[in-house]
Amino acid sequence: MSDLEKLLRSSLQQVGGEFHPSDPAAAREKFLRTRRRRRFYAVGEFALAAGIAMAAILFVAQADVTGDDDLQFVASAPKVIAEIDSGSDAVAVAVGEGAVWVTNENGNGVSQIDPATDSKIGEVEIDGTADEVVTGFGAVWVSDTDGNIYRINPSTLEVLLKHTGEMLSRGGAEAADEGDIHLDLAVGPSGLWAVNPATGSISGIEATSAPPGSHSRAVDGVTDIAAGDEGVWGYGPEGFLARLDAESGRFDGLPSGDGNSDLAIGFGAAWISSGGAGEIHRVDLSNGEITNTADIGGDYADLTVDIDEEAVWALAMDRDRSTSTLYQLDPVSGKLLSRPLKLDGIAADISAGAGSLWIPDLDGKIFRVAPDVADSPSPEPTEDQPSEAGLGDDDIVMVVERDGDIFVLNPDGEVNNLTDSPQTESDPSVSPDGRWIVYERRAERFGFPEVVTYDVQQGKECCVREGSRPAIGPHDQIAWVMPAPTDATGGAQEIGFSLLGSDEEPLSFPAVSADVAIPGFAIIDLAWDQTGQTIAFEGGYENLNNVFIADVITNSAQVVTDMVPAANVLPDDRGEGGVYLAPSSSYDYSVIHGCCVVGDGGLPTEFTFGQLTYGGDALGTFEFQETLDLNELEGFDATGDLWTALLGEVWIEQTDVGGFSFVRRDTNAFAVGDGTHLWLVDDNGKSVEVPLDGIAEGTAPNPFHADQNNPNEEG
Amino acid sequence: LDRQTAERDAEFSALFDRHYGPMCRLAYVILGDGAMAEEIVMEAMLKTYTGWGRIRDMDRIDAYVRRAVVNQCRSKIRRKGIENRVNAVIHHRDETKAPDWDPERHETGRLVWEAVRGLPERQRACVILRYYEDLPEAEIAHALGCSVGTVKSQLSKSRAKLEKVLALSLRGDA
Repeated sequence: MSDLEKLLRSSLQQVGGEFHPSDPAAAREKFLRTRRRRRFYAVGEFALAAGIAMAAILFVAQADVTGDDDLQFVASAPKVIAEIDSGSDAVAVAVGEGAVWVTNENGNGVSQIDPATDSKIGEVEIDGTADEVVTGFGAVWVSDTDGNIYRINPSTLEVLLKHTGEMLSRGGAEAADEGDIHLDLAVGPSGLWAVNPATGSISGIEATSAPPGSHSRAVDGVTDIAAGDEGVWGYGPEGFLARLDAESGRFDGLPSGDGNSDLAIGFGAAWISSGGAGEIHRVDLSNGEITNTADIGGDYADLTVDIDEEAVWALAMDRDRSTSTLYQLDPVSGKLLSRPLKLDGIAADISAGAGSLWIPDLDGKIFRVAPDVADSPSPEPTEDQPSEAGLGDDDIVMVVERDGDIFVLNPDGEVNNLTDSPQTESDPSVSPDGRWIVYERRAERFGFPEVVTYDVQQGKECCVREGSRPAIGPHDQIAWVMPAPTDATGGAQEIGFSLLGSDEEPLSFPAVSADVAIPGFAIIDLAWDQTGQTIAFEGGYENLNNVFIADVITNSAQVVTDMVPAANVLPDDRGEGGVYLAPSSSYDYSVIHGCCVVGDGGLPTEFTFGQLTYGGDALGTFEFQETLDLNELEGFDATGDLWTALLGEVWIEQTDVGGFSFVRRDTNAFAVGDGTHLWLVDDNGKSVEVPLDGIAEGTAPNPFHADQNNPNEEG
Repeated sequence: LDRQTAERDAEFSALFDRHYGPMCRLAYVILGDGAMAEEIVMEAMLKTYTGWGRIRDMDRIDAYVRRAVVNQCRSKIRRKGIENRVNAVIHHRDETKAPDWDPERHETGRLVWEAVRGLPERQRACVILRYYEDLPEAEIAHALGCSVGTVKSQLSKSRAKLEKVLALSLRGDA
C-alpha cells in the first residue's frame, strides 16, 4: 500500500470515528413510527413484490387507456392551482358542508379548509388517530384507527357523538387488536356506512340517531364501500359487488382484489380499481357486467378512484411512494380524457367538490387541482422584428458549447456568445425552423441540470425545466431526460416531452418501470423520429447500453439493439470516443460509434466511425465505415481530450468569405475536438476548422440553414 | 400476511441495529453533514424495508443496504449542491473538545477529507468505499452499479488527483 493510500485510510477512518450518530435503538423507534404512518399504504405490496422480475424492463403506462387518441397535445389537462398547508400529515379528504375536511394523523384531528381562500380556518381534535373522513346529513364523519367514528358539527366544530369501535371489530376482535383499524366510510341515502376491511364488519348508522348497526347487512368479505346512484355498495376482493342498503343486488365473478383496490359509484356503474394491475374496471350496476377496463399500466401501492360530475378520477401512488399520478377517465368509455398529472407527494385519497379536486399528501399539504385547464397553444412565430439581441433564423449555421457557454456561428465563420453566463451551458441543438435553441444548464458544480429553451427571434430564454439532454423533434416538440426520483437503487429516469416555447406541465413517462430497479441505469441520448410520435433513447448501465424506441402516445417501448458498447470506450484518459444517437436530416435514427485507434505512446492517431440506422424493426448491422487519420487535422493535439459528435446528414461547404455552411445531403458529418480545436468532418473527408478558442464540445447544425442551402430543394 | 410481516419486522430490526451506526458514519464521511447522514440512512432503511420482498439474495442484504446508502448520498450530492453546507458544518463543529483531540493529526485528516470531497461524486464514493469501508473492487462495483474496470479507473484517476491536491495543501500546511 502506498503512502497516499495509507494516508487516505487513516484520515477517513479518523473522520468517520469523529462522528457519533444517534443511538440505534432510538433511531429504530423513530423509524418504526415513520413506517407505521406509511404502512397503511403498503398493504399487499410484499405479496406482489415477489412476483416482480427485477431484470424485466417494463413501461409503466401502456396503450389501452389511451387507445388511438393522440394525447400528445390534448386540449385540456388538470392542473394544481394551490398547495395548502394542513399543518400536519394529511391522510384523507372530504368536501362538503361548506368546507374541505382533511384528517391529520399526527394531529389527531380534522382540519377545516376554506375553499374560497385556500386556507385552514379550523381544527377539531378527536380522541384517537384520525383516519377517514366523509360529509353528509349536516355532519362531518371521522374515523380513527381504533375503529371509532365521530360525528362533528361543521359549524361549531363540536364532536357531537362518538360511536365506539366495538361493533365494527365484532367477529374479528383478534385481528383488530393486532394493529390499526382503517375503516372505509360512505354516506348513503339513509345515513353513514362503515366497513372494517380487516374483519369485514359492516355498519349502517342512522343519520339522526346514535345507535349504530340498525342498517347493517351481513355481507362477508367486503373491504371497500361506496355510495352513489341512490345505493350503497360493497366490494369484496374475492371478486364480488354487493348492495348493502337493500336485500337484492349482488354480482360475483368480478376481478379479485389485491389489497390496493378502491370502489366508487357513479354514472350507473361501479368503478373498481386494482393497484397491483394498474386497472380500473367499469361494472354496469344493472347487470354486473364489466363494460370496459382502463389500463393505466404499472403496479401501484395504491389506486384510489372518485367521481365528479363529469369524469372518473383515479389517483395512483407509485411503489416508491414519492409521487402520485392523477388520471381523468371518461365515464362511459373509460378512456383517458386528459394528460395525467404527476403530483410530488404521497397521496392516497381524492375528493371532488367546490369545482376542484382535493388531494391530501402525507407530507402535510393538500393539492387543489382544477380538473380542466386549457392548454396554452404553442406560440406562433411572431411578425415582430427581432430584438436587438435576437437573431434571424438563417444567421446561425451551427451552435456550439465552449467553456460552459453556448456560442452561435454565422455563415461567415463569426462566433458570438449566446449565453455569456456564470452557469455552465451544454448540449445545444436547434429546431428545424431555426427559431429555437435548446440547451442544458447547471448553476453550480453539483447543481441540478435544467433544460433551457432560447427564442432566437426574441433573443431571450423561456421555459426553463428541470432535466437534461434536450432533443428537438420535427414538429416543434422537445424531449429531455427528467431527474430520477430519489431512490435507494438509483431510481428510474423519466423522459419528459412538451412543445417548444410552452411552459405548460410536460408529459412524461419512466424510461423503465419504477419497480424495476436497475442500479445506475441512465439515459444518454434522445432523438425523435420524423413522425414526432416516437423517441429513441440510449440507456443502460455498467457500460452496456441499448437503444430503445419509445412511442410517446402509448408510452410503450422496445429494445432495438443488443448491448451496444457504451460511451467512454477508451482504455485511458485520452478522450471520449463512444456511441452517439441522433436523428439524421430525415429524422431516421442513426447510431454512430466512433472510437480511437491508439497509436504510439498511448495517444490516438486514428478515429473510426461506424453507423447503425433504424429501419423500423431493428437497427442495422453495425460496421465501421470511415476512418479519419487524426494527424491530417492541422494542429491536432493528441494529448488533449478527444471527443466527437454527430452533426447529421449534411455536407460542409466553404463559403466565399472564409466561413462555412452546411448543406443537406444523405451523408453524415461529424465534429471532432481535441480540447483546444474543433473540426467539422464530412464523410468525403472534407474538414473545416471552426475558429474557436477554448474547449469546445457539444455541437449541432441549424437544420433550417442546411435546408436553405439544400441543392436538392433548389433543383 | 401478518406472520410474514412480523418475521420481516424482526429481521429488519436486527439489520437496523447492526447497520445504523456504521452506515451513518459512511454517509457522514461522504457528505460531511451528520444530520443529513442520519436522514439518508433512515431513508435508505425505509427503501430497504419496503423493498424487502424484492431482495432476492438475503445473504447479500448488507451489501444492499450499503448500496442504498451510497446511492442516496450520491443523489444528494448531485441534487443539493451540498458542498456549501458541508463547509459550513466543518467550520462549526467543535472537535477540540474530543478526548483524543490531536490538532496536527486532525488538521492533516481534515485536509485529506476536504481533498476527497473535492472529487466528482463517483470518484469520491470509490475512494471512500475503498479506503474507509475497506471494500474490494468487486464490492465497490456492486455498490455503485458499475463494472470493476470502472472502479479501477476511477480509483486510479482519484489517486492521481489527490496526489496533486494533497502535495500542494500539505506542503502549504507545513
